Amino acid sequence: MLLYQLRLAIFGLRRQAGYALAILVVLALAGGMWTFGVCRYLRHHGRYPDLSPTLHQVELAHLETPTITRIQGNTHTTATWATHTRVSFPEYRQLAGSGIPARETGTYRSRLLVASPRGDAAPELVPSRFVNADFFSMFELPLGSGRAFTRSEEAAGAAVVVLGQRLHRRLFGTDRLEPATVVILEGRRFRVLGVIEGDQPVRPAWDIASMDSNQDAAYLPFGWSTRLLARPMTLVPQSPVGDRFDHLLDSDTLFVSFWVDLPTDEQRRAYARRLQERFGAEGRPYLLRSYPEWRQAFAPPHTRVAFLSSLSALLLLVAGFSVARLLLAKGISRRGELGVHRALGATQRALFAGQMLEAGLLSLTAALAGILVALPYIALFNHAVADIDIPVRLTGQTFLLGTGVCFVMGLVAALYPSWRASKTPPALYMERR
Amino acid sequence: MFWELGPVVRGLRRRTGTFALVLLEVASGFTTLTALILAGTWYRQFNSVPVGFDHRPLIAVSVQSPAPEDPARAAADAEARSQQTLSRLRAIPHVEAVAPVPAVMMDPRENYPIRLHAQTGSGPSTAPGWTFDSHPALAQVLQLRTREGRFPAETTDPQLTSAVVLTHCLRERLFPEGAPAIGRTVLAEDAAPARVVAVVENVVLGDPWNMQSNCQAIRFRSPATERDARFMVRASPGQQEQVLAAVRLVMGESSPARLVTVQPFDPADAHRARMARGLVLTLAVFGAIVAIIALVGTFTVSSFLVRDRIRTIAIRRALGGTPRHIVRFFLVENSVVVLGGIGVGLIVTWGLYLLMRGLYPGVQLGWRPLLFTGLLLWLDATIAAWLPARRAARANPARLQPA
Repeated sequence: MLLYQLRLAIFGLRRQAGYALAILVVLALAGGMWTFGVCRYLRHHGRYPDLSPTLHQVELAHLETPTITRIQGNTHTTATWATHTRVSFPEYRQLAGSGIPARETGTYRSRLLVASPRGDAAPELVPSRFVNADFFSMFELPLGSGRAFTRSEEAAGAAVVVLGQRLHRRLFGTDRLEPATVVILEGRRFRVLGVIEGDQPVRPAWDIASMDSNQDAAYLPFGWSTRLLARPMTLVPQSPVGDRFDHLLDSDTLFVSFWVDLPTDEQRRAYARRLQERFGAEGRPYLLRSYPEWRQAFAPPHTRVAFLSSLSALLLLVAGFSVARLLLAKGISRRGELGVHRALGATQRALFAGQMLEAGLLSLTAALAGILVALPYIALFNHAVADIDIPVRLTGQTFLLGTGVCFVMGLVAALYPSWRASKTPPALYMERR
Repeated sequence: MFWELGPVVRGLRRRTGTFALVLLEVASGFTTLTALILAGTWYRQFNSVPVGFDHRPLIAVSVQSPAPEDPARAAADAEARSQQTLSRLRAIPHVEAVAPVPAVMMDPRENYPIRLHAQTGSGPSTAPGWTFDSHPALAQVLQLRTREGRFPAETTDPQLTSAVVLTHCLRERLFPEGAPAIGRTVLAEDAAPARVVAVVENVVLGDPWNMQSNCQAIRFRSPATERDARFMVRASPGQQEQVLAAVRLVMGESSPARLVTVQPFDPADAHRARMARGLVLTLAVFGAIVAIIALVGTFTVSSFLVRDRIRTIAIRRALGGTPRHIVRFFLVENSVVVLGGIGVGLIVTWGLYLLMRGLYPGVQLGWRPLLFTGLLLWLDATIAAWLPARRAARANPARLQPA
């Protein structure tokens, strides 16, 4: 029965190929833009990963950066987040090394010179991150090949590094790590232990103030930051600082993001006591947030990205009205045929279902064709705008959302026209004929 | 045209559903297009933001190298290297001036604004701004125009480190209503208190996307760090190519442990400027897609509406109506609906504009984007209605009779 209805629907569409094509074009174009909007929105506003709820971050009271109170988009957001999620180096020293947390990591970004050991190309300046050994397991960074450095390697000051996939590909032409791979970092030879798989999130949980920047290209043990005199990429000054690197380390400038893992209640209580001793006793407000609390506190704000993505939703609505109009016209132009169907005993419900089935076929085809519109637009955006090196990408989730919503819009747009078409009275056409 | 309105209204009432959908489609299309134009115009301003200086004779030089093994000497070594490079660059023929500059010049993502405070006759004042560490030669390099006071001369005066030059924007915010600025002390979150020695015309030395990018506090501290140094070289008029080649020779090639970059300085090459151009292009493509959707949908439905009223057309022709009358009827009908949609769209657009103001600081809803969008949609719909109407109107009235 369904097959018969499908054949009828296809036959009906072929007879009114002009309408079918117009509906297809309109819905595919809008669906493609909608899919792009979804891809771009989720790149910026995707959910934080489901990390361990025992991860915690301490917020200390600091001077806010001076931004206009209304949301100005990303610069305002990252500045505010930096004030709330980062600490100074002396504060980091007070927070770290207690022996209480099961795992802990401080981290910050700097630009480092990196070159291939072959010496056949000029070095490049890449954003690199200094981390403690526990960083990789705490934030569950996927390693495509190799491994992360260990605590003992970190403690020994070993010259080891984990590379991001893009940098490894640029330097060595492959994503797979070969044994004994070495890279020249700041003029020194570093052994490459592992390669991160894929791109990092645009809003990395380990340091959300670095949102909207190129991703981390390399990960080095934290101790190397002082050996390399690696100045942080973004600072939040709190007071004047001298011009030497050690002055920066002694200052109250904010640049370190620090996380601890407190899996047991006892550890949480012990760490809270430590915070009270170090900060509370001095009258300095502090807040120990668990990861779930942190996720709520630092939900992505409204940004221009969200607004532009919402315009693609508005375009889908425009297409919905257009499709409804086209389906209405299509139904009216088939009054004769539908009237005959009614006269021969077809119920209104049957006519409605038939019209909806035709619309469903068109919507499904248009939703899939919309991907062919979305892909070149995504490529254009990545090439022309190139805001960061984490490209807008069509993933399984965005494919489903993009095509699914487009398909549903087509069906919703078909409701009224199908209902109107199903109301075609049979008698009128019998009389005329 | 007025005597057509009766038949037009009757026609609209007979196809209420269809024309209501046209109205809604035009309204939402109008809103979408106008929002795209406003966003595109907002981004476009960063293609040509007036930076306040002529960049054409300027050459940007940067050197990145690893920190020395002995960190205790790193700062002194870096300063010595920076001075040496400065001297070598100045010695190049046709170089008018050279000034060290910080990394944040035109690179927006590595700097946040800070708060500056001052005391005026009417009380304390606070303003956000950007600190720019440089050298007295900056005035000559960028040809800064002094409004008040005197830009520091290139001296070894130790007082230099406690001097600050404000741009006009920051001066007005810290010392409003004409309060004197020269000689006053300014406090900043990231620097020691400094005395205002000069006020210059506004220049953009930071993120042009930030509404405070004109508000600069120029300090005289070495911007070089232990690992990097940047310089801005001003070449004599017409000598930029020659100077560029000479600078490249002097600075030498990059090596695995040293990155040297020498290129003409062009604010249009800044990352944000390229992003803005890309966004304008992608928004333009988006807008074109909106127009195509409007055209395709309207054309198909207009063809149907004309065919559906073939009997009406035949009768009118038989009663003496000319093809011109027929076409005019459909154009008037189409225009009434489109104008209705534009009217509804104007209201929705106003609401959307209020939302946009929070995300696009300084965005203005002028009459031009509204007029352009309205005209575009009306033209779209008119062409889509005119073609089938013209075809039907020219057909032989006898052949228009239904069987």
